[in-house]
Amino acid sequence: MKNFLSVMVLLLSYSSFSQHFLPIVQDTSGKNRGVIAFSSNGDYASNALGKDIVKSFFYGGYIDQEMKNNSIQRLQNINQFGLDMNAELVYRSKSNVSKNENKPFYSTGMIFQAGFHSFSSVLFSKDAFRYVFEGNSLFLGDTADFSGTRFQSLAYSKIGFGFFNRNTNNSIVLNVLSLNNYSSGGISTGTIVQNVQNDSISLTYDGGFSFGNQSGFSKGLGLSFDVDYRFKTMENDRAMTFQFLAKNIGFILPNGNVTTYQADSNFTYSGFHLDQLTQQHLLHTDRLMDTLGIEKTTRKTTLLVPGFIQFSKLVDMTSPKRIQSFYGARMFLSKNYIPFFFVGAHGRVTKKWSTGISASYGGFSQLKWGMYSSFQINRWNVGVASENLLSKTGESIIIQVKCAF
Amino acid sequence: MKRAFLCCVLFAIFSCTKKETAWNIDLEAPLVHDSLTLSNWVNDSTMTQSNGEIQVDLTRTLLNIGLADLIQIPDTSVVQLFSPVFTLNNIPPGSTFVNTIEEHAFDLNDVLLKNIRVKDGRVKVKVFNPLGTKVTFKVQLPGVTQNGVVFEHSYSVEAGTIANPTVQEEWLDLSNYQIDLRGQSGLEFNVLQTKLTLSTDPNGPAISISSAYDFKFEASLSEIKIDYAKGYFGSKTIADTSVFQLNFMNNIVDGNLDLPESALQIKIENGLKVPLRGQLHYVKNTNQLGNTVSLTAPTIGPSVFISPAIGSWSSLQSNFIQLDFDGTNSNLESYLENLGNTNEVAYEVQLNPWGNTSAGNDEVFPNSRIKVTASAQLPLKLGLNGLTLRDTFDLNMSQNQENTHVESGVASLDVVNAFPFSCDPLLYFLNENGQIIYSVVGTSQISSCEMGAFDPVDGLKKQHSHIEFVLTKELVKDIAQIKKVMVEARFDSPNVSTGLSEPKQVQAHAFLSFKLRMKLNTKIVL
Repeated sequence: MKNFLSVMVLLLSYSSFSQHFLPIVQDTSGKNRGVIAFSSNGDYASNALGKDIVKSFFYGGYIDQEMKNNSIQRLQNINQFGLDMNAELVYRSKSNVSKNENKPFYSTGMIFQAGFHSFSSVLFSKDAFRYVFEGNSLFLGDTADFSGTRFQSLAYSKIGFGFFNRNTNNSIVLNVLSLNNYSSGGISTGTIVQNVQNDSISLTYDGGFSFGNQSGFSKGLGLSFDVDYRFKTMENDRAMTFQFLAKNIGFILPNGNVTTYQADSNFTYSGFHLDQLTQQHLLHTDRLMDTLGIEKTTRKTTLLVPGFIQFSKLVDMTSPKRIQSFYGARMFLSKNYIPFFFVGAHGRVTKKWSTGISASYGGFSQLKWGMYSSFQINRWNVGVASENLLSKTGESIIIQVKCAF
Repeated sequence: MKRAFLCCVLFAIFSCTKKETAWNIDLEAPLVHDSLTLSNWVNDSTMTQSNGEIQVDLTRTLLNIGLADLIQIPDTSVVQLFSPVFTLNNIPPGSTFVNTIEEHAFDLNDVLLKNIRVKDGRVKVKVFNPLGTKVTFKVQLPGVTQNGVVFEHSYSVEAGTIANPTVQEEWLDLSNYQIDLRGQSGLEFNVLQTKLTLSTDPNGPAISISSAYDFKFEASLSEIKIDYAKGYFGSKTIADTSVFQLNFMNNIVDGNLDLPESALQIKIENGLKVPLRGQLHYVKNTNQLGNTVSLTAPTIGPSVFISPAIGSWSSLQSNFIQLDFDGTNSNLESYLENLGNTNEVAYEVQLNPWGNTSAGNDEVFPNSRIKVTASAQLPLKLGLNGLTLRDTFDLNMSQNQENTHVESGVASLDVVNAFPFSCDPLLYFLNENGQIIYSVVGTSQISSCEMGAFDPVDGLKKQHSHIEFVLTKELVKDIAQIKKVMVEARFDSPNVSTGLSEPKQVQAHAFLSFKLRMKLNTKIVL
């Protein structure tokens, strides 16, 4: 049963990635129709961590020294890794809020949506990677520096209701969020010094680790909103549509207290004396925490959701041009994420098949290449994309299925 | 068709079951470090240094007894009764009746005491008034004095009846009272005197007392401990066999120890003003292999006599006799080199071996002791020739190979040795049946300090050694089967030139410091 569940989670993870389907199109095909769209997105990226290692975490497998060495060659002083997984089901109503043409909501439809989001990010030092994957032997006579290492992981489910304008596709949705998991931590200053003789280990650390230890599926409730605002400009007699997209901008209040372990101390360990070995409870957790100067606190806190803001030029599906450009910038509300820029070319191969390529830079990675295709079959539109095709440090897959009725 | 589809779906699901994510890391950390000096081994003995050489003085007290162990005053109750033989009519108020002094004897077997001093103890005095008016009881213990004042207490007891006399009782402290046990004549032994005086109520009516009236008091002496006694203490014999274990010797399984000239003394000390006889029946030890060696010497067997102590109280001086054993008058060397872990000394001491020759003038003071002690002086100049110590420790460790676990390891031992002995360590790993399933030999030996050089800082000769114990993958994998670890260490005292073992003098302030570090190849499994 446990295996079955883990397999299901894994399958869902891969089949339900969504959100950043490139490019977002300005499409009027569903103007007078209702739409059900399922989109899923799975994306992980790093500037250094090889995808062979990441795959070993997803699928299992042994991480050998060659895999470690390949990643070590790419390591910088501070490195990034991010994982974004989400799935959303969106329903856009066929009917308008008002049937009276004179009312302001005449061409306004309703949106119902539900989804699951998981966003994890890690900044880690080169030494942190080597300590975790190779151990401390290679640091004898050296200093391992973990300063700047931090991570954040937040998973939540949402259900939302909002409105959209059929003419402009502008929309606003208010979501109720349910926290599924949360943890974060960081080491602002952290070093381990071990002398060549391996006589002593000196630790200096200033950092903390927080997590929500509530039980149950919902560990907290929150609110967020999604905004999709589009506007057209004219340039050289050509109409271009730009989009400002903000998703999951909000907060979550955990049900109970968040537990935090905090330490700002230093400690030198040089082994035990013989008489210490005979003491009872030598490694008792409380004694160990006291020795290391670790303080445990619990407190109410508000978690900011790592929402998503994107500004981009859209592809106009009504344009007679067979090839169009698209470009934009994206930002997650996370300290571990750097601004992400993308540019690409969209081509309409046939009436039913469009495809394109993209290049991007930023986020958790450096230069990435992407590609996508979408197929229009009657009222169905199916799209498959990847923002990261050829990288050795990340992968991306986006699937979208849309039905207009 | 449906079933085939279901099978395909299930196959697809379970064939995609996530395998473990794993990688290996090398972890190194110091584990134990300490410095062992001679005091760690001879913690209950003293060491003396002379010309940079060390001599261990081992002393064991076999017997140490005092007055409380020799003479016990039993808990005793004495009763004194006043009852007229004929009726006394119309006795005016305030009349007094004096009872005669009565004597009460203690049963102390052959001990005849004249005087004692109570160190601690108390007496319960209980008086009974059967008269229909208030009566004053004056209880006296003639001969029981403190600073010359006789023990005396008065009780005014309310009226009672013959059937139900009024009772009054009180606990009184007897500490520091001198008790003269010679009786009224001054010639008796073990005799306690009592006296009772009765007075009728001076404000009461005239009364009549018949023979039916029993005026009574009881004195119950309880938990009396004395710190001085004079008299004849009898011819008591105290015999014992003292057994003491040297558990350290249990671990010696092979090899031999060459000890230089040593000496052993057994001392019988008499702090009583009583003649004493002492006798050493035998001294023997038995080693871990079951071999027993008895100490033979002319002084073992015959009685020895120790004169009484002289002086008194703070000026008391004990007399003693010391039985000396060394290589010239005994087989002491072979006795010690038997490395006995079980040592036995059988002896007896007897008071007044010739009877009451002091005419009842034996004396025991608070600081009087009879002691039997054994002491040995061992110069720390030892010759070790393959002397092998073995000790076994329980081990209860297990690893789940499905989770993060250690795959192999190396234990590194760095030693600085200032002792003139070398050591070859060996580890055996035993299963629950006690069978050796793995053995790990140290990569080198802990070298004798004779191989090293003088350190000008502390003037000690030292030698550094580095030993590694390799814990193979197979050993670590079977760690759950290993229930005991047997540590074996073979010691030698080699001559640097010849390599042959010979007696070596241990340096003053010699030590052995060590650092144990672990390097573990660990498989992280998620």
